[in-house]
Amino acid sequence: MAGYTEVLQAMLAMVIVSFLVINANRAIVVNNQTIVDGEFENQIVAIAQDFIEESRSSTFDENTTDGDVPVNIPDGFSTIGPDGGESSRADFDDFDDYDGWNETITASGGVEYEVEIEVNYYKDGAVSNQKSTLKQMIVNISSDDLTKNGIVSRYSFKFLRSFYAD
Amino acid sequence: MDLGIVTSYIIAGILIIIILTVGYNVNFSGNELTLHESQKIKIDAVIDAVSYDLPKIGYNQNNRPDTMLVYADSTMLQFYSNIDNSNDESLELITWQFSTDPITATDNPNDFYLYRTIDGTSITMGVGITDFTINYYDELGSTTPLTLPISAIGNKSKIDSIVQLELIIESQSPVALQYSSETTPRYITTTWTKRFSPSNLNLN
Repeated sequence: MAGYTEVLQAMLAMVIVSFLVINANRAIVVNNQTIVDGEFENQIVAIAQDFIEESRSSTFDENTTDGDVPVNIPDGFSTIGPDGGESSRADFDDFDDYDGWNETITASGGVEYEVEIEVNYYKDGAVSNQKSTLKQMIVNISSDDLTKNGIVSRYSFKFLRSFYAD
Repeated sequence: MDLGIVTSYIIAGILIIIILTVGYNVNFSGNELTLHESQKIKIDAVIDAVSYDLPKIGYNQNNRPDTMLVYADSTMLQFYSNIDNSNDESLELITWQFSTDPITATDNPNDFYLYRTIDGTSITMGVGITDFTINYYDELGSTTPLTLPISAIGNKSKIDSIVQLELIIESQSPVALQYSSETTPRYITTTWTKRFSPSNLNLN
């Protein structure tokens, strides 16, 4: 058995080192993921802000685009969604035209982000089917390159706009 | 010499090499993360300043100025705004310019100074910016940028047609990291892209 004790000790050391290596690799993966996630999330916030700012630069409602105000508020407001002849962002002239808008945005580095927007009237602290002086925009953004545990992460940004704040 | 002892020495040697390599890799990864995070903090300061200025293009308390954008180029933007919101409604001429002046204080040869000038008074930003590109669009959501440069003096109708600006900022770390298997040093890079839709430009 002479010498075999050393081999057994060396094998035990290999087992210990393999634990060390696994943990070190895990730390490296976490570091890399932190870097990549940070870059992605920064870009996702910027894209959400793009759409929110863009929609804010248009009027609150289709029926206020000419500068006039409906006689009856909020019943005089239009239904949510793009109006006739509005099929692209360049055509959109009021806040709720963005409802149902889907777009794939390719940012620097070639990363693709899926953007989905929904707009609803908002009343008594919740989304409502009834017309009101508040509209809520939800911008949902995801990317196939940004996953957690194999599931695509989905980021949601909410923006509430008031007719009276315009 | 006993075969078992020789084998154990060989294994011990391999283990030492593995431990050293793992230590190097963890150290490298930690440095990479630290450099990236510190670079993000630096670029955030620029993003804050840009995000403060650009939405206010053409802003004044009561009336929009006749000329809002003065000069538009891929690395330079000049516009009027009552940026200090003064009650006398005096307009300031604001210029953002990405210069070709290299930052000599860093090892990185790719970074240049960015200048924010308000009525002739400049603030210099030397935070490792390697790219500062502005694209201009005459339609919301358009993917075809306008041909540059555009000046309010030479082509006012064209500069007035701008409704959206896209800003791309790339920043790199002041020092490079070189992994043992890489042939050249690598600067840690962070990029930020954003479109701005200033309200006053969209009232045209």
